[in-house]
Amino acid sequence: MARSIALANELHSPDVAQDLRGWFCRAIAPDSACSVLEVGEAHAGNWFANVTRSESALSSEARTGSVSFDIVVIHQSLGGCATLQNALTSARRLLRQGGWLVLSGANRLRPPSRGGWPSMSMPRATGWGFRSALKHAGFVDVSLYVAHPPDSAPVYVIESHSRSARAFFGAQLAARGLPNWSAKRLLLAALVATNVMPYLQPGFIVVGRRC
Amino acid sequence: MLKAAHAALVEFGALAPSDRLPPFCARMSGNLVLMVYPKDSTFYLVKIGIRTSLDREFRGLAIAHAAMPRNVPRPLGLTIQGSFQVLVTLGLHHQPLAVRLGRDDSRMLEDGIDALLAAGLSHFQASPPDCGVNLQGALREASAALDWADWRAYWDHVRARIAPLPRILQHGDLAVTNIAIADGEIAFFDWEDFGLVDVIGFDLAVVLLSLNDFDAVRLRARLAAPTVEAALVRRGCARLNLSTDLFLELFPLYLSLFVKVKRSWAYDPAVSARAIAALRDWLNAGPAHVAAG
Repeated sequence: MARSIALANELHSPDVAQDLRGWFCRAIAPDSACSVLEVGEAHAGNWFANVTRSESALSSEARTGSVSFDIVVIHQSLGGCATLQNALTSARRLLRQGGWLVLSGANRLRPPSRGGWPSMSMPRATGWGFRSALKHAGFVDVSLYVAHPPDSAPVYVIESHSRSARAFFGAQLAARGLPNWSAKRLLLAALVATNVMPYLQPGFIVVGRRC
Repeated sequence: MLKAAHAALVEFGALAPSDRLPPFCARMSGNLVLMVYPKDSTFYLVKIGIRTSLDREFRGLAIAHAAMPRNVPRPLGLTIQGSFQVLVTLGLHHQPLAVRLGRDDSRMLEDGIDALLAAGLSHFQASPPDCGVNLQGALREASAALDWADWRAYWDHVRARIAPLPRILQHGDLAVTNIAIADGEIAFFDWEDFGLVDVIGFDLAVVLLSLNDFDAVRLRARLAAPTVEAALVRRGCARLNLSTDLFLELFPLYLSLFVKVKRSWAYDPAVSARAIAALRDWLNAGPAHVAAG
């Protein structure tokens, strides 16, 4: 009976095991040495390994384009700019060619939460609006994601494409066990089928590459 | 990571090299899992081993799928991409089990668990190189958490009783959240902990505990009544050729093993804390009984 197992042998090195940063870092960061500028509330540290610089606003130095980053993360902020389009234009100047912008913002279709960020400093748009804004600002490969639960440490990130979003929200609806003919279930099922569910979530993460 | 997922899908023939990565959902707790949705109704699970090795899960899926092809997702392969292992599995469309949600899937659950136990007896026998969690060590560790003074006497008693039993590799985490209905049959997911425990009856115990949110008092009450839990024990024990008395006697061991596995694999500490609380309640309540059929 003196059988034992070295469970730790099946774990990877501690630095990987402790690395709780999520999909953002793993999917977007080209490598661990890339330089990341985070703007706004300091959540990017949870997302990316190498936050080179954190700023509450896009600095004048940054606006002149004298520095460049591999990734710019703008988290629930306009970076001191007056409009979303200005923030995106400033962020674009900060990115190297082929660099990535990650912007998280609130859904214009949802009322702002009490005690949350002042509405003036928070990027607010519909999901379609965010995607369109990035395209107009000169970004390509634009993708829209929603996080679940919708906070700084999501467990799921769902691409808003109909195939992935229908699968996720459909499974979520099935797990609720609502009666087949309840009005709530029928309404939610219709929203899932028409792929409106992701566009009704409280916030979005929109990602684009500078061309 | 998306490049690794794409490369793995290409390697196993799920994508052409020129295809873009289809839309996906990412689950970021534990190992990174991408659920990838190409154009047809097929979907794939791409698991990237950022926290643990995927060898054990791949082995479990391969053995279990061979034994129960309709009830276990088909693993397409395990590969190395960059510095990470990547496991690709063919997705299995499923509905959640609803034993306690109004729709009564209990009969289907009974049949599914019976089929899994039967498959275990015929396909999951532990061989000498298989290393299970040290039973005595698990009991010692659990006893330290709840001041269980008599654990050595308990160990001496059960050691002799389990010695003649066959050692069967267990699924390891047969919580109801890892059981679903696929195409009218029960399906079993999440084989990460496969074979960590090889004490017969462990999986059945985890199902019972999970059905009752690891509330040992509630589970004991339900076992004593004509419920799905009692039916599962009667049928499961008959399948395993294990007396219900022995199965119930082994419950503290099962719970200790569960705690050991969850602690060793960096699960949320709340999971092992619930199992410790269940063990305390089980020990304090005295002998348990299963209602006759």
